[in-house]
Amino acid sequence: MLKMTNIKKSFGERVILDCVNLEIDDGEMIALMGRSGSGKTTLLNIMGLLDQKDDGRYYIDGELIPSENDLATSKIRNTQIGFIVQNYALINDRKISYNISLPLLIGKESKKNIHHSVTQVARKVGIEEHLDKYPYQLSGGECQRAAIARALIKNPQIILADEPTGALDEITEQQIMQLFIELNKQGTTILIATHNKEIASRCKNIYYLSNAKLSTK
Amino acid sequence: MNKEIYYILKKSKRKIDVLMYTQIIFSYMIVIATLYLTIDQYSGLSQLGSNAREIYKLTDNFMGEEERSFFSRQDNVAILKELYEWLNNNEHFQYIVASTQGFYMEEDTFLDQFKVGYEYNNVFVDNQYKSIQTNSDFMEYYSIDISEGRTFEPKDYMIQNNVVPILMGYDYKDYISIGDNLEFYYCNKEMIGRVAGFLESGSYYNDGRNLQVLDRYILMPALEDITVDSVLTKSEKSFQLKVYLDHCSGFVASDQSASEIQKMIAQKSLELNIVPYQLEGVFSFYLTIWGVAGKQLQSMFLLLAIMMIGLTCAFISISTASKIQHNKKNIAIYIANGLSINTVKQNIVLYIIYVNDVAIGIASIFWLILSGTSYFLILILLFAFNILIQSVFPLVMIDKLKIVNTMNGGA
Repeated sequence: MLKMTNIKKSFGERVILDCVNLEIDDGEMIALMGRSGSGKTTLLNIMGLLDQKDDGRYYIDGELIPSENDLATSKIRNTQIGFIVQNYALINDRKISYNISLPLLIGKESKKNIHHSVTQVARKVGIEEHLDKYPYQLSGGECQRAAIARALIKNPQIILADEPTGALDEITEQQIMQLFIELNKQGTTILIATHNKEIASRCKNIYYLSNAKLSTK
Repeated sequence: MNKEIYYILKKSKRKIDVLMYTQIIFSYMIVIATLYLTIDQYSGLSQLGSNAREIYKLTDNFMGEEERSFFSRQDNVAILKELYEWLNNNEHFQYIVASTQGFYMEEDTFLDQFKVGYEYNNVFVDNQYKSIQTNSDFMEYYSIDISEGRTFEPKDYMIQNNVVPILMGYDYKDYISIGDNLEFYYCNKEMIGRVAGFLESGSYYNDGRNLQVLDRYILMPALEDITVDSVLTKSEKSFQLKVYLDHCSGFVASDQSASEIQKMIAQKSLELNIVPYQLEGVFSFYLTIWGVAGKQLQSMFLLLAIMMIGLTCAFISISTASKIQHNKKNIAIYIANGLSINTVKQNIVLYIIYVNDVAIGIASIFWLILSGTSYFLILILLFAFNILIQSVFPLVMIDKLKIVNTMNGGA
């Protein structure tokens, strides 16, 4: 479903990714581990089409991604990739319902569809009663659930989560991980970048990024 | 196009916005004022022929005993006539006659506003009207246009009797009609002027020091074919002498240097055995309604306009960049969720257009009310140039945006 071959990325003299190969099948739940600064976020950015690789090929469903075509990559980001980050990345002066509906609004869905989809996905992640609230009125865990709902709303091919529990307490962390596992069981492909062994151990496969190389060690 | 980022930037009010709008509106008003000065006043005056051509005033050098002696010999009119014909038909320069002999009228034909009084032997003479006697080069050089009737024709300059066509300044329109006759004295000679036409409003010429608006002047053709004959009466010869003296104190417009022209004139004067006529510089380059000060004012305004536009560009660019910085997390969230970077950039340019649009609109309307002029095409070009300059920095910011770091609240 998702395949990367010989991906290279450097910042100046510093090589971040050196001939990275990765293949992710539908329904997988993968942990991407590595020390801080090892290039996990860079790899996630390239996978999420938020950064450009220096070299290599990237396929989704067998199709080569034209990473320099802004229109094509933005469409893929909108429809096939869900992105979750540590600090939730919610728009603070907008209600949770608006935040969740963002990919649909950008994709110019009808209002009726948006309302239906938002309610459905909010129910799925357990924040249905918070739709009319603002992010600052919710707890960290609830905010992260809203972010997950937003990532899920277009039924993407894959969810890329960068340290999704990094800002949460232990109990909430467990709840969010449980949510990821349930979503995975329902067929959602998830890749979690983390340096937390506990989190990684709950994934089906673990990849390690070290010295710009990716391995399954 | 998805306009979310545009609305975010527009909604993102900052205290500096009021200052920014005030400054931009002021800048555009300065720019329009500069255009008004340079286009309407300065370039409009390019009708004064090519401004690249220098213009000089020609003056005689008759002084003291020599002067008295020259004027006592009325036959000298033949010398002046020859000099005038040489000047008028010279290939090296354009010769412009603009003699300013006033017309004296015995009756109160026109309102006081048209009169120019003067004192003569402790008596105030007030039935004098502003007039200039012009040749065809004057009409051409100053692009004198007619609002009604006809202008002077070649035959008008060759009239030998005392009935001459006259052109009235625009302000006379309500007081006299085409075909009407005016009786007046020109150089003490009784003449009949027949109104041939009216000048365009705002017609003007340079008298050597300032622009003179011709709206209250009466124009008469400079008579070029006065018979110089010894049989004429003393008063007739005196008239001829005065006329040719005036004719020979005209203006020379030429691409050649003053010294070259002076040399030619001195040579001709010596040939005619008279004291050489002399050239004096005229502020030809500064022909504005304000004279020399007008040119300086234009330069000052131009400099001010350039500075203000530079400041405006910097101000809008920095202000937009600051709004992007303030909202960068939200912008990154939109991009991560599928908004294309090009759409974000289009939104930013749209916002910059909006800011300029409001300012230029207010400034244009204000100036239109104030002066009745607008410079649509030039302003559009300036507008496009400003948008281009102001967009560079904010767009570079978007290119350098680290989306995931920014979403996480980082750089």
